Amino acid sequence: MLLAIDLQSETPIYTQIAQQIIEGIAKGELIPGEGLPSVRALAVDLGVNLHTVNKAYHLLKQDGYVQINRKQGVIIEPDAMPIADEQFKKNLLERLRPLIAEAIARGMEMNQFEELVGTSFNELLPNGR
Amino acid sequence: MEFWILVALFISIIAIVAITPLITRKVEAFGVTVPEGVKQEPFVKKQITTYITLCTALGLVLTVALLLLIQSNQEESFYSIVFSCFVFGYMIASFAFYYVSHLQIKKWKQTQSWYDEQLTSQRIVVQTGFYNKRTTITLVWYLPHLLLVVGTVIYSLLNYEKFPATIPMQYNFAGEVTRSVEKSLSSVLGLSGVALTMIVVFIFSHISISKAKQIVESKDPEGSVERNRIFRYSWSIFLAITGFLVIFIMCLGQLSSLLEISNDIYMLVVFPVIGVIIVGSIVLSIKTGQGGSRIKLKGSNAQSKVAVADQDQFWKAGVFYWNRNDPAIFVEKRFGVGWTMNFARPLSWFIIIGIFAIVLIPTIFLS
Repeated sequence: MLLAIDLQSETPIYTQIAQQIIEGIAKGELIPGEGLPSVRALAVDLGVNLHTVNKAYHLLKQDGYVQINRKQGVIIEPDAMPIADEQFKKNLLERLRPLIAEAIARGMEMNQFEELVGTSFNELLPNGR
Repeated sequence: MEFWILVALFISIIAIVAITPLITRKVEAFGVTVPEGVKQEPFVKKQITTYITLCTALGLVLTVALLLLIQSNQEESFYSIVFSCFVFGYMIASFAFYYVSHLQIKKWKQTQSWYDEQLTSQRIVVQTGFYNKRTTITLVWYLPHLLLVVGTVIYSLLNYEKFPATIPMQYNFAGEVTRSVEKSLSSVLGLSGVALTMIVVFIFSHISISKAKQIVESKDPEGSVERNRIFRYSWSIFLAITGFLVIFIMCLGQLSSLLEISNDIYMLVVFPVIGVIIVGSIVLSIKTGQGGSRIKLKGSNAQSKVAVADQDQFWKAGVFYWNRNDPAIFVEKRFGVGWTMNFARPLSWFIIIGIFAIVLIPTIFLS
């Protein structure tokens, strides 16, 4: 997949890397078992600090999206992707609340919000269904 | 006859220097990042024509001067100095021609509408799957080189008695020995030592090709990455073949007295080999273009586009990469074919000094 980061963005670079890789998984551009570049190679290609890439990979590992092992390097979780369990849903809701609040404060209707969610949901499905 | 080799070498240098703007990436014009297609615009085209004309004209003048000097039958050392001065002077002059165009295009870029659009979307793009397929041949291909040197050393030691009492170290253009030393282990095996350091240099170059920073172009990003893979692969093959030829020449030189090869015959091998290497590198440069930009891919999707940041602020004079925050050591050249280094990193300087040391120390040691 093509990974793009914005150096001027307020979002930290390690967050951008992690988010983009998860997006790649959602879209099916990164398949289970696929190798990701080594920490050094990705840092060199992006022109960012090695720690930044390391941090992104460790975040992804913590959440169960990638495996890091000595022999194969960093690979997309080959067996069991993390599932949307109760804990995840609770967490998701927590992250959604402030966004919904902001939308309501700006006078958005529920169907407008749902429309936005629906559009991006479809965009992020494999083959952009 | 040997003088003609110098002239041929000089003409090759002129050719490589003069065609440079035509074989750089389509998104680089004189060390300045431009959107693809801009190189076809009259302003840039005029700069390219001016540069090529100036480089060719100066090259021709110097070649004529070189030919006239050869007629005057001077001392040999005079020619070596003149030739070095000509090459060095030509490099400096062509850089001046380059730099004038570089500054003009840089200034012109500020006035272009696409310049502002680019600033709003400074994104760095990489292909995560780039290293999942090989970018170079394996280092195992340097085993023949190593075996050739080891074989030469063993053969030389077994036949040590048969070497003549004095070993020639230097020849003049006429093929006469100008310096020779008494036979000793170091003088007999000297060229093997140089060959070994050459293998180290070649392997180092190979590694720099495989470790170089990836570049994704904004137009047809996937295709640009694939072209770059072919580019790296082709040059790693060329490098291994060149390396073998160089090692072969050195080993043959060491064994020439044992195999009863006269200097004339040896030169008849050396010159064509050098010719093949030079012509090969020019042909490959034109075929691939810098970064693979001239390679035609079948069924590539030229429609897709991503916004890619230009890194102009990190390219001093458009040729020296200087980026403190970038861990990359090896980067692709902007003006020319091949790779250069991130000079903001101390490791780059250590590497340069290291290479000089391993190439120069044996030379000093031997003389």
